[in-house]
Amino acid sequence: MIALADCYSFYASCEKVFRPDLKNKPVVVLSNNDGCLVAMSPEAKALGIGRAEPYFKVKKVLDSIGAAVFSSNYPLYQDISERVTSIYRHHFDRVEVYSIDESFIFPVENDSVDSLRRCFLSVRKDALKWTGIPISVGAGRSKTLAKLANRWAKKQIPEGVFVLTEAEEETLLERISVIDIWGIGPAKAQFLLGHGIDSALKLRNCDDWWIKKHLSVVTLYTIWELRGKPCIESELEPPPRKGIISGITFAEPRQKKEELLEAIACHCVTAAAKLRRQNSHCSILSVQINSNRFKKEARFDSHTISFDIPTAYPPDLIRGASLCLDRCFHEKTDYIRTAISIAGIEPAGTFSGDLFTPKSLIREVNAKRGFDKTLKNIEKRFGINAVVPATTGMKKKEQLMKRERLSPGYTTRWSDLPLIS
Amino acid sequence: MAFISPAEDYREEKLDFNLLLATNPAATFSLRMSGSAMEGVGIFDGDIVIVDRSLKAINGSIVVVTWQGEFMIRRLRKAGKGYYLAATQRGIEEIEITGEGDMTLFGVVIWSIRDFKRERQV
Repeated sequence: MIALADCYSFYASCEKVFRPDLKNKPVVVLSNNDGCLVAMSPEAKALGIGRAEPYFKVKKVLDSIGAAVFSSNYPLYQDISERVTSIYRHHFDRVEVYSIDESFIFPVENDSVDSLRRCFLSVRKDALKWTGIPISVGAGRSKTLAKLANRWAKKQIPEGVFVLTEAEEETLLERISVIDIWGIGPAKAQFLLGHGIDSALKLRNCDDWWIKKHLSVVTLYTIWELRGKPCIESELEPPPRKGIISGITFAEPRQKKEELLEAIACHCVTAAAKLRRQNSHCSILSVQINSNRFKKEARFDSHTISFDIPTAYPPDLIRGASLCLDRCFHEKTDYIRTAISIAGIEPAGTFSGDLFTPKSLIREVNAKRGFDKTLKNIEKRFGINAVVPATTGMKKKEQLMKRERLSPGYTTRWSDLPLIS
Repeated sequence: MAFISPAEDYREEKLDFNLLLATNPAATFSLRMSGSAMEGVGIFDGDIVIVDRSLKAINGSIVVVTWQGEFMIRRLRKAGKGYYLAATQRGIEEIEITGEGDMTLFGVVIWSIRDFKRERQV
């Protein structure tokens, strides 16, 4: 059996933990730059407010129903997420964190269905009591079945726990639409519906060859998973990143190159920190800048460079990014987004060059690499971003974003603790 | 050559406040006291109050509850068959826990921390 534990409306639930006045009230959370709705409490969902709506479109409705609106408070969500995960780990040895609010749990094989259910109920009870976050748990013979069982638990089972046994699979799959299967996107669902395959059960009973011919081998894996044969690999350890992207959408468009450079330098610092954390260097860097794609004459400018010697040294990355910016920047353009992506990532090591490499260069490169270690130690003591290149304008990413409705750092800042009286 | 410290073999882990103050980190939250309701047990305005949400409240526990949309800190008192929430400050009325209304237990207070360096108004 594989189980999926999932937090109910996670961001909205986190916001409610420290706001007893919002109990039973509609709460919504906005995406970066307060753009769209990304989470709604059950009360908000019940009022028919849809996910991914642009905020400006539903602002009036939200105000009229007295909904509490928050900007994304990632430090809070991350902290609560780690607490919930640690509760899973408290009960089970094998836990795979899938996203900030979902984890796969691999229970001991020979547990009976009854004891599994009891165990999940007690995980759910602990999560709710210890952190205030409601969760649901669904279990099945594969990840795809666990996902379906979880959905069922959330919608149909008041206790929020559902263990799908092999004997019950057929009955459940018959009642689930192909649209709601993990791994079946809208296009595939449309195709399947067109061929009369509307339920998960019908999909499960499809001919392998037909699927492989008309869809893909990935869909075939989904079908095998529906048949109870696990095909999706588990990643108990996250793999090292192959590429890193850091970007931001501005609240207000920017025309000046210096302003873009500030943001891009911030991205470089973020990317360098990620490289350091996984002990690696990169050799390719590209900068993307674009204007609002909904406006006329939208621009998407980018430029890529490569480093002869792989590096994670922030000034190197910033110099490279600045070069890219020079190449792709256009005057009098309302740029709304900047991003950098880095690739060619390889493990860090001592640079030895070859026979023709000047000694001075070897010394310089290794001095830079020594700097990684120094920075790491500083970060350990003084926190991330304790030292930043002045090119960033000494700004943090948060300051570049619009977050007008940010809640306090209840669990991450001493100055922001909730008050009791 | 330097001498090896004679204490080398007797090394112990340094005192770690996290281990002392948060025995169950997943369930431990810090809050800040506002007001004088609990001065009788030594919790003063501005103190940090540490709450463990995994613990069961018993007679005499200092608890944090949510009530009427706010966090409230009181001592849980059993009298006869009823449970009451009492402040240590005179003049604050005791509240009987009836199981009705919107009161819920947030957690049990396990420590409080006061900053004696802070300038206090007398």
